[in-house]
Parts: sequence; structure tokens; C-alpha cells
Amino acid sequence: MFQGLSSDSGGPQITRPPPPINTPVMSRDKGWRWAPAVDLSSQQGVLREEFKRVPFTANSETSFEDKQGQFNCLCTAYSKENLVQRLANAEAAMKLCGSEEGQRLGRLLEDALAREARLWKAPVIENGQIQGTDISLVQHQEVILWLREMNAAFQFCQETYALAVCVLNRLLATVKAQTKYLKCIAITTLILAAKVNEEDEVIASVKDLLAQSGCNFSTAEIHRMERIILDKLQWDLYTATPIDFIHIFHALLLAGHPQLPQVWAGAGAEAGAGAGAGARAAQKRPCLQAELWTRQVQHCMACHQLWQCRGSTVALAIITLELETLTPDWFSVFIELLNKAKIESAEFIRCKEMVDECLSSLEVSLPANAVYIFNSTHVTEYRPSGSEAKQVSNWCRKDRHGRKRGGQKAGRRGEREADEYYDGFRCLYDGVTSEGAHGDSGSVGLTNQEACSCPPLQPHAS
Amino acid sequence: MQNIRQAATDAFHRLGLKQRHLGYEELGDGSYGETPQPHWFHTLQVRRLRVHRGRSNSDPLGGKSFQQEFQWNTGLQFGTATSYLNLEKLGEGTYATVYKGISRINGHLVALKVIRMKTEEGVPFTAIREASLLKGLKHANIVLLHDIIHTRESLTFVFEYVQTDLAQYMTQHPGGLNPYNVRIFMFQLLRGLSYIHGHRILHRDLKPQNLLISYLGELKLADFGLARSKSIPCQTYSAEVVTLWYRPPDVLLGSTDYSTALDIWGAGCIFIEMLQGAPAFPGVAEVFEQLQKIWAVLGVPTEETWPGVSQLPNYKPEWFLPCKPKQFRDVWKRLAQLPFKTEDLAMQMLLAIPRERISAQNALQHPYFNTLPHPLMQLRDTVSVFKVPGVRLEPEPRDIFSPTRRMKSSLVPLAKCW
Repeated sequence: MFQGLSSDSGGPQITRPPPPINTPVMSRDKGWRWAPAVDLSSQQGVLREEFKRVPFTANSETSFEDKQGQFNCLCTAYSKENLVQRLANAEAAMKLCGSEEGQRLGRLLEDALAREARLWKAPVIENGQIQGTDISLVQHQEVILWLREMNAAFQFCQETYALAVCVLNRLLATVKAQTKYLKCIAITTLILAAKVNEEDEVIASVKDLLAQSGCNFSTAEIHRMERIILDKLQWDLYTATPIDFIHIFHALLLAGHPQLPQVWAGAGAEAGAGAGAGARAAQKRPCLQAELWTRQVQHCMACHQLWQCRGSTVALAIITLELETLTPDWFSVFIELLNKAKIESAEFIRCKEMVDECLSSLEVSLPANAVYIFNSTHVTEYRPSGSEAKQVSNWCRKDRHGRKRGGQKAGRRGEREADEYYDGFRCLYDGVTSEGAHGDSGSVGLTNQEACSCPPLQPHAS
Repeated sequence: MQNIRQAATDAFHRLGLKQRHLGYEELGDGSYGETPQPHWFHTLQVRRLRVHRGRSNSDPLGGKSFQQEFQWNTGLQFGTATSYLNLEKLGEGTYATVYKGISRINGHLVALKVIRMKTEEGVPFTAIREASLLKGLKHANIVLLHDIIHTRESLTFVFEYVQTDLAQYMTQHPGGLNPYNVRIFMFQLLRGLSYIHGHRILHRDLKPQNLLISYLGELKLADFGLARSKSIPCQTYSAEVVTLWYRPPDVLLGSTDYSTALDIWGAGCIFIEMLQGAPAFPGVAEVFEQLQKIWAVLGVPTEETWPGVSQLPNYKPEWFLPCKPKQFRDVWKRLAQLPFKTEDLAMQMLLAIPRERISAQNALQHPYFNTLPHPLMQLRDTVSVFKVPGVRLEPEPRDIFSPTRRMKSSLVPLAKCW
């Protein structure tokens, strides 16, 4: 019992890639002397602004060199002339936030950061697998995407999904889990997150959820897993998710810069005729902007490159990328948030680049402008695109086959109900594959990777 | 062995407990498993005494523990059922039974909340919420969760033992409490609320039964089973929260985007109840009757007095009897006998429009609390208000356990008024 607990406090070392050599580092103790970082960030901002004005066409690539030159000139002038003005703006903005609402939000942010510092944990990646397990990055990514589908299917809110992913990652960083249990762990984290986050009238019974999810675990298996997760994480599930940070940053922005919603709405209108309705809606409900960011965060949560970044950093990166494209005055706003969130600038810059990459891959994979056209009818629920819908039906198909096998298994499983629960837990935790478990999964004709059910937990062989 | 000792030490740190026992560090392998059996009788005797006297809420033992003299079985671990001894049943709730118990690890009295496990749904959501929320909350006015015992069949939360709750306290002292004590209770209630609201947590089930009172008069928020964390944006919650008597009008009208003002209304109702000795809006079993009780004091709201009220699902003005707003002092007579700032605070907490209700943080700054010693305002979160010199409960005007005792203070005539 206690040995289990102490493993938690030790924690695996998080290996991070060394920062790029030329990354400018802003040190907070040096006050305002952040010139190199200012240059870099504002360059990106101008670059994005410039690119935005020129429509993307196939032959626009040729003009890239010209643009680079143009942009270099632009940014030197930009940074020198505007630096002083910008810093003054930043200070003014911070004063603005000294209002009561600003203070309240500041406290909220501090509290969320403290909880994140206490509970945030990322699995360590080693040779393309999560350290100490046989779970590959692809499998992990798949299961996170699957959770998002399930979250939508169960009609839980996005916070629930984010919490489930945080709990899942924390668990994978804490215990050595095997691939065959991954799906069972994942669905259990979602059920746990729903119990924490959803109103009880929203949560269907575990049995119905399982039936809907199309995986043929028994409720007993889920409950056993639930107990293991709660024990391993010491019942401390209430962490701060990236979505929480999006909401807090969003509220801070609105409190400090009431003009921003109009800017967002204006940008929406610029983006095209189709977005007109969205822009009008955005004026009515500034929450739409947060909705957009929430979607982007959800996408980033599935990118394994971003696991090593804290939720607060990812959230700020997403917001900054958006602000850069929309607001000429983004820098002061950004500095204000960066200061408040006490995020290391080197880490932030690295994270921002990865988020940018991650989001641009999203833009490529979806129809043009899919993310930025805002149709308010789509906001409240997440609808899977065509390919995802196919995946869902695949799961359903698996379900039908799976359930027959599940029926056979259920009898045997029933006999094992009396197993010590720690036996199952030992299998999970020691990372030792017991012979019996292997034989079992083999007998139902599924390889570990395909297995959509968690094989019955078995006593340790030795 | 080393591991277990190390882990036990860790567990102590985790729980923020001091290691009270000198013997603890020196314990070698040999002394392991020796149960200091005779000591149990001592403790149980002591406990009996405490029960007899404890009802008066003025424990002459002053909470001094006897543990220093005894060595407890330090071989026992947290997280196992054998480490605790059930003493008596204290009460039964909707999803749990609470027992008084004693920790065999350190001899502390504890409250054991044995949660019924539903075979179909696994761990109840109330338990998961309560535990995961309380894990992040450390405050003198929030009940402390010591330990969780989770086995196949049962789930038990081990809380610090607190002698009574506000409902029992008010039953014991009928006819309204000493206004001085009300001020101390209210300060602690708002202090606890301000803390959880600062951590963006809504309690959502404030009622006297859920406010524990120690023999010193320390008030602790308990039962976070319905509580939930609140994120900033436009999220909606269940309207089926809070016992009807303490549910605010906006939620009664079907609003689901409530916020911290929800708890403030409940606290306001409790404020009136402590002063008056009777619930503020009592005795009905249905939403519209409950609303009618509230309108009888605040007046039926209109679109002019409460912009947006007509949009709420249950707003049906034709169903309400016409009522004019009344002075609180005319409704609750006790307020008329107290300085105006008491009524003013009550009015600010019991405003119909949720966003106009005073926040817990601001309520603590209200002139009503000016008469309390100043250092109270600067206390650290984990420090009890009773650590401040001069803060202590005064005797209540009436006590059903000692009916012959009569207070000579000016409070007695007040108590007779109604």
C-alpha cells in the first residue's frame, strides 16, 4: 500500500529536449529588458499579418523570398518604433486588470496554476513508447481521439473530456500499464471524469455508457479499474485542465480589454461571407471565441508532441497564436498573460511552435477554413467529420462481434469475481504479463492490439 | 519494515498531522504488533466522560488530548479498516451512515462516514466529488478529510470528529442564539465560503445540518457531496440543488447558470435562522409555495425590479399572490432589536437578483463584523478564529439540557418576546 504511494511521490523524471540554441530567453528577474524575445515574437506577428493579407494560392509560394525580405525590414521598424509604446500599453493593461474582477480572476488563475503544479504529470516517452509500458504513441493518441468521440457520444461537456485525458495521462505517468488495459483505463477515466464534472441527471448508468461505447467490458471490470485509479491517484482527481486555463485566460482578456470581442468579430467578418453570421454571433456571445479555442485545445490534447507541455502553456500558446493574427496590439496583451501565468518563456516559445504545427496540420486535414468559419449551431456539440463517423461505425461493428465473445467470457469472468482485487492491480502495476492473461486473450482470437475488451484480470502467475 | 515506517511518516506529512508520539520514532521491529490493550479502557472511559459533558458544548477538557501519555499502536496503517474502531452511530444520510470512531493509530476521535456502494454504479459520484474537492481544500472552516478506506465491499471516509452541528446546536438552544455567537458563526461561515468560492467551488447544499460546530464554537463546512467546481463560462448546472428552504429564488425560478450567489442566499437564510430560532422560509414541500414564502418578504419581482426575470422558466406572475416588499425587521422581529447593520447584512445576502447579492469576501468586510477583534481579518487560512485572543462563545440564553439555568444578561427578555 505505502510502497505504492511512495512510487508516486518519487515520480519519473521528465526528460525534455534541450532548448534550441538560439532561443532567446526572457528572464523575469531582468524586468523589461527582453529585447531579443520581443523581436522574435513581433516578427512572427508581422509575418502572420502579412501572410493574412495575401490570399493563399498555389503560386504565392514563389513570392516567399520577397516576403521574407519585406518582412525583415518591416519588423525592424516595427520593433524599434513600437517597443516603448507597447511596453507602456502593457503596463496600462496590467493596471486595468487591477479592478475587482481582475483580482478575482487573478486568484482563480493562481489557484488553477497551483493545482496544476501539484497534480500535473506527463508520461515519459522512450523509444516511441510510454516509458515502462508497451503502449506506443500511436495507440495512446488513438485512445485519446476515441475518448473524444465517446465524450461527444455521451453528450458530456468538453471539460469532462479534458479532465479524463488529464487523469489518463497522470495515471500512465504513475503506473506501468499494459496496452491491453489501455482502453479499459481510458473509458474508466471518462466515467470518473463524468462523475466529478457532470450533473448526476446527465450521467447515464455505467451499463448504458458501456453499451453505447461499444466496448464489452463488464461493469465489474470498470468498477475494479475505478478503484485502482482512485487508489493510485489518491482520489485527487480535481486537477486544472487546459480548458480551464482557456476559460480563465479568456475571462482575463475580456476583463482587461473589453474592445477585443469587436476585434474578433471584425476578423471573422473579414474572413469571408460565410463567417458573417458567426461574427454577429460572436458579438452577442463572446464565449464563441473561447469555444473556438476550446476546440483547438482538444485537438492539441491528442498531439503527443504536446504532452510534455503543461495545460496552462498550451492554452496560452493557442490564445497567443490567435491574438497575433487578429490584434495589432497583441504583444502587450500576451505579456500580461505570460506574466500572470508565470510561464517560462523558453518553454512557452517551444510549446507555441509545436501548437502552431499541430494546428496547421488540423487546417490541412480539414476542408479549407473549417476551423475559422463559425456556425453557431455547431458550437454546442462536436460532430465527427465523415472519416470519424466511419470510425464510429467501425467501433459499433466491433461491438456486435465483441459482445458474442463477451457472453462466453462473462461466465468465466463471474467465477473470478472473487479474486483479490490487488491481483488485478498487480498485473497492471508490475507491468508483468501473466501467462494466463496471454492465453486468455489468445483464446478469443484477438491480438492485444485489436482487443477491444480488457482481458479478465488474472492473478499473478508466479 | 523500514518502508512501512517511512511510508507512515509520509502519510503523516500528507495529512498534515504532527507526530505526537515520542515513542513513534524509536519503535523497533520487536515492539511491532503489540497492542497496548489496557489503554483502550482508559480512552473509552475518557470518552464516556466527554459524552456526558460534551452536550453543553463547553468542554472543560479544552480539547486537550490524552495521547501524550499513551502509546498507540503505531504499526497500524492509514487506509485500512482495522486502524479505526467504531464507537457509536451518529447519523444516517441519503448515501452514507456516519459513525463516531477512534483512530487506533493516534487515538484521535474521528467521524467515519461509511458510504453505501451501489453495485451497478461503482463509487457514487457524491463520494468522488467530496473526496477530490476536499483534497484541495485546507482551511480552518472546512471539515478535514483524514483518510479513505476503500475495499471491495465498502468505502469509508475518515473525517476529523466535530462534536455537533448547527441544526443540533439550535435545537439545544431554542428561541434564537446569542447575537454575539451568531456573529462568530456567521464570520466563520462566510470565511469558509469565501475560501471555497476563491477556489471556484460551489457548495450547493448549505443548511444547518451541514455546518459542524466544535465544542469551542468552530464552524466547519461539511458534506461536499453536491458541491462542484465551477468554470467561468456559460455552463449550466442542475436546478435541483439545495434543500428547498435554502434555495434562492433565481434557482427556484429554474435558472441554471447560477454562481457563488447561490451559497450566499443559503448563508443568509441560516443567518436569519440563527437569530430568529426558526427557519427563514420554512415548511413547504413545493417550489411555488417556496417562492410564495420568499415573495411574501421580498415582493413579487417584475421585469422592472428584476430585469430578465420573465425569461426564467418557472416565472408565472399570474400564479403568485400579489405581495409588496416588506422590511426585514417587520418579518423577523429579532432584527428590530439589534443594530441596523445586522439587518443590512441580511438584506444584502437575501437579494432576489443573484448578481446583486453580496459576495462572501465583501460580506466579511461588512460593518456588522466591525466589533470582532481586528486580527481576525488577517488570519491565515488554516488558523481557527478562536486562536485570536478574546474570541470565544458566550453562553446561550436558553439551553434545553439545563433549563433551570437562567442568564442574567439582557438577552433573556429578548428570548421571551417570541
